Amino acid sequence: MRLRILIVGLTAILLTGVGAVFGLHHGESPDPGSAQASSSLPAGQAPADQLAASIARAQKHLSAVPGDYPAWAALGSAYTERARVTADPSYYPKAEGALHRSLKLRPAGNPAALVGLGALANARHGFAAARDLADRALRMDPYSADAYGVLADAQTQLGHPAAATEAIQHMLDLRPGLAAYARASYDLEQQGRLGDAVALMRRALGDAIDPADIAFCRFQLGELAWRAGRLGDAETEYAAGQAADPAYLPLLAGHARVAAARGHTAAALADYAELTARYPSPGYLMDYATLLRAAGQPARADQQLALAAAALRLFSANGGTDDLGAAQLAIAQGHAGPAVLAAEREWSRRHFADVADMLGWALHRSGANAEAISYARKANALGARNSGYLFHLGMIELSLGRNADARRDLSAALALNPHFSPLDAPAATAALHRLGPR
Amino acid sequence: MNRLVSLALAALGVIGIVLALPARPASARPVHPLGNFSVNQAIGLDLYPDRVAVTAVVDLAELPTLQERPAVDTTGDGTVSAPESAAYNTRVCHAMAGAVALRVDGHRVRWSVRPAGFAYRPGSAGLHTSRVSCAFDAAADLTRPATADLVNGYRADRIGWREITAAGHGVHIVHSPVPVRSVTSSLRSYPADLLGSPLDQRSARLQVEPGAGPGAGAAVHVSGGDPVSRWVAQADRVLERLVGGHLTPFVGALAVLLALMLGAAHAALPGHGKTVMAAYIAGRRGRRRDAVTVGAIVTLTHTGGVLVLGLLLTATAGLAGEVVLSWLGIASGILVAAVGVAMLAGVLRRRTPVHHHDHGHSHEHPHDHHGHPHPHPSRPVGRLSLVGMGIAGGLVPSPSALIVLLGAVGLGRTAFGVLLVLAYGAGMAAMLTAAGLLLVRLRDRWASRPRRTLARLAALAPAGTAALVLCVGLGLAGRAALGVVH
Amino acid sequence: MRSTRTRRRSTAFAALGLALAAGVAGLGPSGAGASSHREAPLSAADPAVDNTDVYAFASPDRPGYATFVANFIPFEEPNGGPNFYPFATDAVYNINIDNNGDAKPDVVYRWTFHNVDKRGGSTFLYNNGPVTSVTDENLLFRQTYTLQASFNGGPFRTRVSNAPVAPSRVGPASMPDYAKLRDQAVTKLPGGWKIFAGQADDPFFLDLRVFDLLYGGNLKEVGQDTLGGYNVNTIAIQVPFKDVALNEDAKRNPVVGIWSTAERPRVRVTGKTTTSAKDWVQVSRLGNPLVNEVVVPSGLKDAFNALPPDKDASVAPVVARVKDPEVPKLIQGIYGVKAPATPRNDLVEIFLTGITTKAGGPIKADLNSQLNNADVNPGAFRPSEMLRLNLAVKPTAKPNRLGVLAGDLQGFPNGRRLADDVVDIELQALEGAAQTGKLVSALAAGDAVNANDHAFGTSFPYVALPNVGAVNNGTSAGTLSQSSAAAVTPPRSAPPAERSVRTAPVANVTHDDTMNTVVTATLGAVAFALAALLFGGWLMRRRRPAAAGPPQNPLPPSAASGPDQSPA
Repeated sequence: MRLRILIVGLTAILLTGVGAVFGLHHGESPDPGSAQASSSLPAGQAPADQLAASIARAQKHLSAVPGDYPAWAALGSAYTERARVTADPSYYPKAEGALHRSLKLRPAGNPAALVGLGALANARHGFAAARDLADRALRMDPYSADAYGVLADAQTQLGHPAAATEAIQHMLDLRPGLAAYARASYDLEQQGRLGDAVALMRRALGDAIDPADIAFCRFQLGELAWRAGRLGDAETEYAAGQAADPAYLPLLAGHARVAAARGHTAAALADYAELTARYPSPGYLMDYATLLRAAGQPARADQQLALAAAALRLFSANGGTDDLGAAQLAIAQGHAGPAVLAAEREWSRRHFADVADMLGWALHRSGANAEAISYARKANALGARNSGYLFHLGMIELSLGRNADARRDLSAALALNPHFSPLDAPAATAALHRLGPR
Repeated sequence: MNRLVSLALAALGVIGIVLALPARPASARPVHPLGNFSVNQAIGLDLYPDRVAVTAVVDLAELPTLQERPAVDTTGDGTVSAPESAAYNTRVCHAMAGAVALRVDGHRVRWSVRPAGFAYRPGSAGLHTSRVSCAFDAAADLTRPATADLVNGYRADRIGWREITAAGHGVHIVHSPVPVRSVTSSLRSYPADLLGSPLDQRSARLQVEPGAGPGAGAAVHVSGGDPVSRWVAQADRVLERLVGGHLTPFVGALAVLLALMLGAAHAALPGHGKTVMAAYIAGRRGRRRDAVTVGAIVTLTHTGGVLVLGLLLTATAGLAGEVVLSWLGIASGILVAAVGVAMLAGVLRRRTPVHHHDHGHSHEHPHDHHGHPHPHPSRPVGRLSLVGMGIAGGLVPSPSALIVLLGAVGLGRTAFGVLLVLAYGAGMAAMLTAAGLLLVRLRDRWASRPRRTLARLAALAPAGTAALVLCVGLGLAGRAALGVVH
Repeated sequence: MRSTRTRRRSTAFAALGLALAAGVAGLGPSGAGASSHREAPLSAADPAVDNTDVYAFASPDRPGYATFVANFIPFEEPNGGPNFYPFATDAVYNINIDNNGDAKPDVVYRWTFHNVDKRGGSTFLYNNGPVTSVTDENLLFRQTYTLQASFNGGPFRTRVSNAPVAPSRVGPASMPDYAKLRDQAVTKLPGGWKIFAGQADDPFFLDLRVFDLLYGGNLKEVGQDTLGGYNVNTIAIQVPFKDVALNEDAKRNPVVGIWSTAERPRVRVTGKTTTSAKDWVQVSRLGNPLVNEVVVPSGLKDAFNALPPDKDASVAPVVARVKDPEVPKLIQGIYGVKAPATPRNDLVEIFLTGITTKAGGPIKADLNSQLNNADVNPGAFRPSEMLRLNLAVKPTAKPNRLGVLAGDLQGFPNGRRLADDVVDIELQALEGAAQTGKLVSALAAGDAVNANDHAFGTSFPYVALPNVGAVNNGTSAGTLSQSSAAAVTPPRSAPPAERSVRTAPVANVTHDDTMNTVVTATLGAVAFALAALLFGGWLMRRRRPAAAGPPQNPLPPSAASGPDQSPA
């Protein structure tokens, strides 16, 4: 069988030789176009999208130099930002993968990767984890403004306002710019200093480059105006934001709210329909359901609530916990008991103003008004002055028979923003009527 | 020399085992890796000289599916009946046809729409995802060079994966910006690539001209689960680039060598009936000759199959490669199952008269050339089984070989493509033969040290391996059948 | 494709599969819209204060005058159209001079910019007709600046206000004679001062891929000017020597230290919110080129950007890093060029004190340290990272891009001229060339980019005019078409400025493919070789029994078993 080996060997050589001959005969030939597995910019988006461009560049660079751990960390952070901007959660696993790759390449002395993971944790509502990651990063790099940003976000959501303020001040002292100003504005708002909050958000707007960042600032300015009842200003800001970035979804919600407040219910419903079609998050679905109910379409409202329930179930299936949303949904569906349980669970995790408010309202709906009032008071103390909180507090006081307090708080709620909710604002008005004149 | 050979065998054995292990499971496929509210779309263009056909697939994640439910279940009775399903399918297809605009040299074509299926599948959290398929056809004159502009504006505001593929049949796409095959197998599995953003191809501009074969589209490969198949996939890409590139003698020789190596590498990956061959050889006291035989037959079948299929796809329009491959898979599976049945039958036949032959040593004698005085029943099935095994193993062509051939044909380098396929086959032959020989050797070693337990195991071996072969065959056929159904 | 068709087969991998499933199922919550959790941008790009380069040199065409140039906003794409790049108006841009070595600024030139925006929110266009002068009414958006100067810690006095900024060059149709616009943007002041602010061609030339060295790359892929074709925003000033020298005497005190900074006002959220004009936060800082890339480790970049020079000596890790740099070790590992012995006091001289004999450093030359100024109090001297220029060294007629290392004493690290090839110089310095006086031949090629893609001017501000053509080459037929160009884009459409200069446009490199082909080919070759060996072994086995094997039973052929008749 030496022959066999010979045959195999000869065949190989022969084939190779013939291949070479082919090379001689064929001339120039065009290259097939290079494969582009990475995405092009979405149609309709102005080329000024820095984030998308820097992601594309980083991907290209990393396929050439896969050992560049700072670039992996930067890519991971960029993916997280992109998930936030486009509301496309498929970027979260990518972000996680990129950040872990960075850590694998450089496990120690890699604060950027830790900060990236912290930002991702915040996005996924893992606030305690985010805080821990930010602390670790700060021990390595006490000058990292990004780490302070992550820390500030986490502390805010965990219900530690003093710690959050301190972190934000550090951020302002290290790298004043859009990120720091935006957080500082929120902080000032929580402190009740609305004028200063607006001024800082305008500063942030001045530093915004990406359309999505401009839209974000405009949206926050619109929200500040909305909460103070200034419909016209809110409308202007939302419109300016949509002009900058039509794809930025929260602006649509703002626009819908303003339309509903002005009585253009059909337009508002259309906006919500579009919003929830593009991004069926539980929050937006529940807002849509509220408006539908107020517009006298309870069947469709229930449909949206069913969708919200599905969305929450999916959220849990994906490993997230949103007991706040679950409580809100339960209340909307009229199940007070589960609402209380969910709100209590969330309260045990973090003492945040929204959670206190939700727990108070859930307790009220289940009839435990005495317990409810303490939580409602906490919410009003912890958080920014807010018609929603005032309304809840007022209704609880009403149920407890404290008419004077109820009148004061319900009036305050309506004075702040007469259109704060399509269902609750009329309820507040009706309650005040029943209370009669002073 | 003996030591060297043993060492070589051991090393080959290790490599073989490592490579023969099934690829890491593509991570228990999360049902919607692109998020639960994405609407993903795949537009597959097929260009012919006289028409254009589009296969459009929309894959809705859990929430959009739920949102659409009222639109599907128009009677509101909580169940989706077949007419409701069909009506929805039609509506979606028409809406999509309106949003997918193809302009040939500036003239927009008019689609004739054919709904091609709508189904729910289980998703996460007890919800369902849904999949809508549509087929559009339009007449178009592509007998002369033309520019085709495709714009997909369907559900432009929804997040989701959007891909476009284009294949020419009888037309040649110059510098295609989109791949020929879908990276996701038509939205069935999404690649998890850290360095790739989700595809968002909403438009494509293609220059077409009359020519042979599918266009030399940039073939994008999915990164497989394990590093080895990833390496091999990337080497495939390099070969395709060589085929399409500037051809010098050096490049030609390099391409052939690469094809040889790739053939060996692909043969080392799971597939081509190695498990079956192993079972057969182990169970039926196969000899080295058998191993060599099977290897040779697999190669011949494979090479012939690739050539025939490749030339068929080139020449005949309207032949969907995927479907053909699936049918071949079924045929291959059935053949293997048949061989398994034959083996089982043989075992049963031999079992019955031979009880008193139980001497306490292995009934199957590994050392054939000792000419043991035990009369062995003749095995008329033997040769046929071997051939059957070989054919089954080679029946399903490697997509990579097919792509290389089609790519070369598309560029007018048919002969070069055939040459590369031959080289590929030679590489496969070498690897398969080596694997087979190794198996024989291992089995010889193992059987040459008979012990009580081993002897009993050896007694069971034939039936066990026959059953294994049967199961594998049924499995192959079943899986391929699933591919056809979808 | 095959790999996705192959499903789980062995139970051993079921566990792995489960683990993977759990990992992937931890996709996490799908979006945070579930509650009122507000998500703000975190690492938003801030290109307007991104300091790219600082240059300092004695003016070659104007003896007795020093020129200082600082650039901001890297990677400005000259695509024309609506893209333009304004300076930040909420920040100040400073060029700082330290002439007595205490690492505190003794002279500060400060630019503050203002927008003149005639668009009124109704249009986003930059101009609506050809622009023939900086005050042309067709230019709908432009900027002006105020220049202030402070000497010896005194108050800032305004030297000029509403000076014109040279606009972004948006194309030949809009700006048919850009050189004229550039000339109009050069402002002359009493005392011989010349100042400029506006867009220019990025004068820095290097192949950024050189820094892949730090991440496993090597110096093989070089030769392309990564910054070629891009623009930057430039601020520049030319002043007589006496205005920057200690005690206004450039003969006794010829050495000055230079660095540029950008600052924003400090904001307080604790206590009273004040945005005091007196309280500034430094947001970027730059002296010697490439310090962030080469010397300061990535964990200290934030610290370096935030600290003023007088704090440098107190940041022990920075000093430690200068004394024990990473790059020479990498080069030794890859190229076998022996890294010079640590501690690298020669680098301390170059980067932190200036080359002088008075600080006990190994380079025995008096070139550019403030310690060599006659009127300096050596006790007050603090090592700090800044560019140091000796004004007494006259400009040469034939500048050498390798500066001091090639014997051209007017070049980097003695100040920095536009044409100095700082990447090659720093590479050589890192390998000890400054100390030995000999260039390291193995690294002679450096990054193989030796000059800028455009020639520099011969008079202030010396930087070349901004580019107009697109940076990337034209697209071939059949590309994925981008959206149809929107006529309206937001005003601040600025470009890809990253925090890390590293992620710059890079040519298509196929490292990966080559590597993988090699791996697969090796695998295949090994398999082939083993197969051949097997054949050989089989062959031997077949022959050996024939030579001296055990005796065969002489059975007649008819009784021979079936397998022997199997086809070969």
